[in-house]
Amino acid sequence: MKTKEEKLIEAIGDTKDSNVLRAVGHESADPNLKTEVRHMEIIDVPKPSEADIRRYRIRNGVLGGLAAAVAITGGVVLWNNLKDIQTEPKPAESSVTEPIVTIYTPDLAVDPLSIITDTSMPEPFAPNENSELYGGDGWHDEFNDLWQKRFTSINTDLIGTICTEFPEYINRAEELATQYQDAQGADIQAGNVTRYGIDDTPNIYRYMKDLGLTGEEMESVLIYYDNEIHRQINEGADLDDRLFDFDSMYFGRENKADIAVAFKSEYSIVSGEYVLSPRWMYYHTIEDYEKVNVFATQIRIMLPKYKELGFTDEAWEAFSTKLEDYIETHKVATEEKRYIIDTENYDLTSDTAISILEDHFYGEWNQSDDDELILPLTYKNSPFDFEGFHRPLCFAETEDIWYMLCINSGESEIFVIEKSDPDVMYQTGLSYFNGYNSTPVVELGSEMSIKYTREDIPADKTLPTGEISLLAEYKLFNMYGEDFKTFYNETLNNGFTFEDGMAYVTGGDMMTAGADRYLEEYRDDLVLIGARYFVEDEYNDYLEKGTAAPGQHWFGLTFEKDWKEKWSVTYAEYDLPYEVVGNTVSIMGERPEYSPADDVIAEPIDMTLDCEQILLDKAEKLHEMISGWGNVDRSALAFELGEKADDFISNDGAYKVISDKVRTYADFKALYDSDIYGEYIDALMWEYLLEVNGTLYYIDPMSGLLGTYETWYIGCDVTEDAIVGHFAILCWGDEDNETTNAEFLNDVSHYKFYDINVQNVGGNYVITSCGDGNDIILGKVMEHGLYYNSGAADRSLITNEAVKPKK
Amino acid sequence: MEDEKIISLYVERSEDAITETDKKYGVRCRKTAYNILQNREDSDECANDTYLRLWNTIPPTKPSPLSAFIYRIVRNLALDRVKAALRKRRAENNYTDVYNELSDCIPAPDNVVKTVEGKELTEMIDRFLDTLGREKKVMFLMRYWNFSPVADIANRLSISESKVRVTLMRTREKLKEYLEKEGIDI
Repeated sequence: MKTKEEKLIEAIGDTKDSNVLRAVGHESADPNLKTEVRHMEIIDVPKPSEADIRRYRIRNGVLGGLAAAVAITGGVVLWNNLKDIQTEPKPAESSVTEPIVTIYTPDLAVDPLSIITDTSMPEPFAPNENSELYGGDGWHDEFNDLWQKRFTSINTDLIGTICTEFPEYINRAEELATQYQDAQGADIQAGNVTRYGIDDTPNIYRYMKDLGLTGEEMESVLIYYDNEIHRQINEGADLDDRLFDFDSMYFGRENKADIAVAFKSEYSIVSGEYVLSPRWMYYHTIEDYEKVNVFATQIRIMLPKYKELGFTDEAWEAFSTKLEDYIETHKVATEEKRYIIDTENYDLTSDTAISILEDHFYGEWNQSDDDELILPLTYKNSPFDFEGFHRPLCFAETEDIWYMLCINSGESEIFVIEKSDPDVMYQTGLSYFNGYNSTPVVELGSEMSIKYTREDIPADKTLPTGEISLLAEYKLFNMYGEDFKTFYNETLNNGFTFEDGMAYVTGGDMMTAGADRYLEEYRDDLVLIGARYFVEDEYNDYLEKGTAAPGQHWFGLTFEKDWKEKWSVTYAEYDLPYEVVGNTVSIMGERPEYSPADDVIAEPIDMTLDCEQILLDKAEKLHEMISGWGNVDRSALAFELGEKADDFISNDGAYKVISDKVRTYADFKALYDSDIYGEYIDALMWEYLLEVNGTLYYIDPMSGLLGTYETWYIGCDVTEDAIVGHFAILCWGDEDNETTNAEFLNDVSHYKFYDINVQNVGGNYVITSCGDGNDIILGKVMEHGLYYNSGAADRSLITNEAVKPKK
Repeated sequence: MEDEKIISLYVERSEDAITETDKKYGVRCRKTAYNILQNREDSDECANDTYLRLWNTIPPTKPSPLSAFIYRIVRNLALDRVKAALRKRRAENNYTDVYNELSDCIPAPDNVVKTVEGKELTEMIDRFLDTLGREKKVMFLMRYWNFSPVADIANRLSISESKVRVTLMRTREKLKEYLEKEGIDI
């Protein structure tokens, strides 16, 4: 018996032929059949009506371009002077175009910029006498559409991108859909042309028009949309399942000016959040230019562009006169300085950016008009934090200035230091962009600039531990590279499931006191971060059901880089006291197993480098590469002997001695028979004691027998594609004193030899093989590591050249 | 070669009929079969079986259009194969994905007026498809007629995979609502 699903599959399979061909994508596969398919398409698609033709024109920019500003912030689209489309002058001889906006009535009192203010301007364009050649009617044809588009529109490609996605969302706004249907019904009843279907709504503007929505109502729709996206994410929706690609492109942007630049066409002027089309400039007065802070320089740059638009002589005369008047009366004051940032930008992970930061911006700055206001630009104490306050984006250097671009509460913010006066820094909240390439232009000395003088230059620019500022975070990325940055962000932003099975997330949508991340320690290949997380279920309940705020959990996450240069979390220390890291260890990660790399493509060794040092650095870390050593911490490997321990910790037959008082080997021997140590020395196994550089260590057998063999570095050979290090392991004899005996040390049979090959793989020097000595198997090389080239034996006694260590 | 000429070859019992059919429809036949079977050898066999079926069917049948006729055959043959494989519990592929997705379209048992099957159900689905815009219709048919992977659909329509998945999900919901509104059970 067939299941219901099978019946459905069967029924779908019997669909009509035209659908079958659609399903198979037949039309694209076989050119011979295109005629047939096209024919079917024509059958399926009704003949275009007048409304369709009009809609086509709207979609293609004749009307659909937005005349003025569209800016998005925090999931809200502002329609400031979009409204002036409402009074778009109808070309006198147009026979096709109808009034563009008939439903929407803006509240003119709210936005004086929304109406045409310069009614003195003549008709900008003349009808195209050759229009018929382009298939048009004088006002609308292939040629005229182009300049109309330039005249009125913002970036139509971008609008198109958004438009294809937007109707999908609108369908989910139930209330508005109902409103739309009601309006549609009323239209039908009144005998009017039916409105377009929502799915056919070409863009947000069009949707507003069809529904007669006010800007505020439109905002509410978009807020709904924004919430919907977040709801889905909070419900665990995969990022791939997010409904709209453009959400991540635009709604996530915090910088309104940045968004405005994305929206503008090459004929637009961006001023703050406004995108001003030529049309807006044409039909507005210079007083309106002032209201939106248009720079005279911007107009000067745009003048030649405007001239390309094909105005009538009369129109161009009027327009250019108005523009030049504005330039004349608003030109940059003599004390102001203008810089065009036409050099390459560097983000904060690059060496160049760090260098510009540390060499020129680093330090404390005193705001000139407020003696008490200090702006610290340091790694330790910086307003560059995670709350969106002064978020730095990039640095640049031109012939005259150093430049730092930041975002502050969604606005562009530029810090500039002139090379001629390195102790003065300007902060300007308003910038504009030079032409279509969006080259930033900075003007200093205007009312919009804040001036700082240098207060202090801290001598120490090393990365401090403690709360991580954003600058410090970038410094970390710079120190440890792009792979670290990726891993760090993924780990700290995405949350994780801990070994207790509990899922933890960051509290991104929740106001929390204090910083979320602390830098506890960092070494060559290790970074220890304290990070705050919340139990995912509690967090979701808080957001969705308004339950009590979830409790915070602090984790100490140890990021380590393995021999393949890959970062992973090797420890997760759980539920640490606030700001404290370092107590109980719960192992989350695993070291990748070391295995000789057979498939590496070794590049030539750079002979200018200190090859021997590279070898020794790598050799010292060899013990970290061996699987089975677990997550060994140096302090856990060897416990210093000291005062009588409070207790013994049974550890599978061996014992740890816990003390914080350092003793030397000599101390230990002297005290060996004393009462102090007597009661537990017997429990210790002598072979797990080791003196290193005068200090006695106890080797925890559970952590591996690190250092129980003495490993000596003999020397190295550098070939074209490998640095070959030669090592010898001194094997301990049965007698306690053999290690210090010259005869023993000179007996080659007491040594095992092995080589380590370090090769250049993709620019990184890594160990590609080890072993290869006489009878040394790979596993034995595990004993090499922390204590190579050290130990209790007196190496000066060695005379045998074969085993004599390198001095 | 024109379809009419190919059909003539079948009528004339010329072996060129199969050669020409394969030349014109072979790639798409095998792709359709592969979408369901996820196995190249089986897909080739399925295409060959399709030609054999055509050979046995034409004449007397003179399908028009030939293309849709061929695709139906290859789909049905592939489905027969995958069902046989499923019975042996060795197939876990695109078919099962589609099968599971279509569970979303099964109307709830409430308010059932009548049970429909076969042609009547197909007609209802056709009517439903006619209510969809072109893009959604193509998405639905590519997925549930042709068993195309989501990536293929996204690629053909130049849209994101996520959009395909979401649109398909909504279309399934709509189909379910549609069938429920009609008060039918499958």
